[in-house]
Amino acid sequence: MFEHLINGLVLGGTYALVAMGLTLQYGIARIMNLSFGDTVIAAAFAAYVLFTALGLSPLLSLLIVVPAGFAFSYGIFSLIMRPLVRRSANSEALEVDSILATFGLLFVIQGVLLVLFGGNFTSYSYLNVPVDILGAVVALNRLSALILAAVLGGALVLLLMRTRWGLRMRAVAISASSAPLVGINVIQTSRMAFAIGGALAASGGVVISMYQTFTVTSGVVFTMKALIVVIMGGKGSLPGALAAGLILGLVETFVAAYIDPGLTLASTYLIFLALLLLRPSGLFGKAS
Amino acid sequence: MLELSDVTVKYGQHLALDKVSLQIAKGETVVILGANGAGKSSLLKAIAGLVPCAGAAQITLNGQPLRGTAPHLITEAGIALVPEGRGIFGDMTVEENLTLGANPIRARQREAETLALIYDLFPRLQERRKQIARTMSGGEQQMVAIGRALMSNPDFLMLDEPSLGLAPVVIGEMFKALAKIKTTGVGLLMVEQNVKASLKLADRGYLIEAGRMSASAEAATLLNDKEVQSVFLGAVV
Repeated sequence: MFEHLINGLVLGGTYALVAMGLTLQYGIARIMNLSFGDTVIAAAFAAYVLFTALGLSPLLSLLIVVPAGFAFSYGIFSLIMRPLVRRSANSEALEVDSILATFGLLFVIQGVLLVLFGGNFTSYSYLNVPVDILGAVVALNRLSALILAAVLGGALVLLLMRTRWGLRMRAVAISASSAPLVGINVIQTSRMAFAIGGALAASGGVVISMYQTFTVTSGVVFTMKALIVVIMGGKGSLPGALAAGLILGLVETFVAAYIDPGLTLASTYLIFLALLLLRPSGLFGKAS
Repeated sequence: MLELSDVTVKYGQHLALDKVSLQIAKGETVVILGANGAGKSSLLKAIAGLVPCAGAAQITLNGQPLRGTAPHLITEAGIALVPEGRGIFGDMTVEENLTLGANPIRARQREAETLALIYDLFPRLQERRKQIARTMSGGEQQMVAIGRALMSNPDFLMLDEPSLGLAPVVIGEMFKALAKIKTTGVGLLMVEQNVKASLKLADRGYLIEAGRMSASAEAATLLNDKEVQSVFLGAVV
């Protein structure tokens, strides 16, 4: 029981981390990034290569992969998204444009990964040693994944809630049209949010590679789950993403343990549907 | 000195402003009068960089050209706008809105003093500083919007219909506050439906009709002008 709880928290922490990245990109930069999960998987493969070829521990490869995820997303925003942002008359038009553009990007990233790594299931063994926590046995890599997710997510929430930088980010999320009136450069702020979202996707990918098996095509699943978490938590809400991610991870783990592992995805959708019916604006969303 | 010459604004084929020229010195209060759709809001938006100018338009602030400058840099240059509908950050607290107002670099050094000044001007904001802005009354939200704009330590404060939708007693309070703001030396450029109160506050006034500047005069002259009285004040001539 306790073991499942910890495993659920590990999975949920990972979901929360990944979803926070998506909610930054969607909530602040107003770009619905369908290639988000593929960035996650690309980072997982990067961590795999660094580990198997160079013997670099995933904790160290974060120092390479996360900045790379930031730079990649920064570049994508400048190259592809900025022209869309410029020409869009309103945020609805931008949403449609960005969905189409990132849908294409999804296949580009997936194609490149497929050429490089093929379609096989991939995993590596790192810190795969059992640890005893109050009687429950958990693999050390899972425990590290949970701690990493908590530290990264916590740091981000503090930055957003406690600094002037974070205040600017939230201002753009609340009203992009009013932000210039207080001297905020909306494009620059959006690009930063999009890039940090990419950095979070990359960190999520490294965390996932530590304890999960993944393939080139797993990206879609992560985009979908991150999307569910974002909608469940309320668009643009970091605490919402955190809570919803943990709920999703716990439910999936308990369903797999006590009912049937084949029903995890079904259970995900069941909660999603229930929430949409009962609280359409999400757990932490405001009724509009 | 903020100077506009031949400012033209087009929305597609529609000519919203046609070669409008205007000037306002620092410390001066100028009101722009005109019917709905005459182009008053477009004028303020053009200055704020929110809509592009067409033709040979020129906008300068102390001699520096402003036309084509991004809106956030215009705030940085010293022109703050309180837009129609207020445009406050509704999901944030009063305090967060005011802190954001001091986001421009020009505002940072005097942030604490400016905040004290605004709390002195609107004591209600200090009492309610932890309240989420969108849960406040219309008048209080307007105070937040004006306070936020003042936090940027502007040389010129532009107000787009600040009294719109407010109760008469609240409007009276707001004009009292604006009179106090005027004494701080900031230039006030306002668009108002409340002609009498705004002309009493203003030094000068401009009339806009169908996108064109039709008259400009001392506020006192306009207040006693027969045409202004008949058009805006409903007096029987």
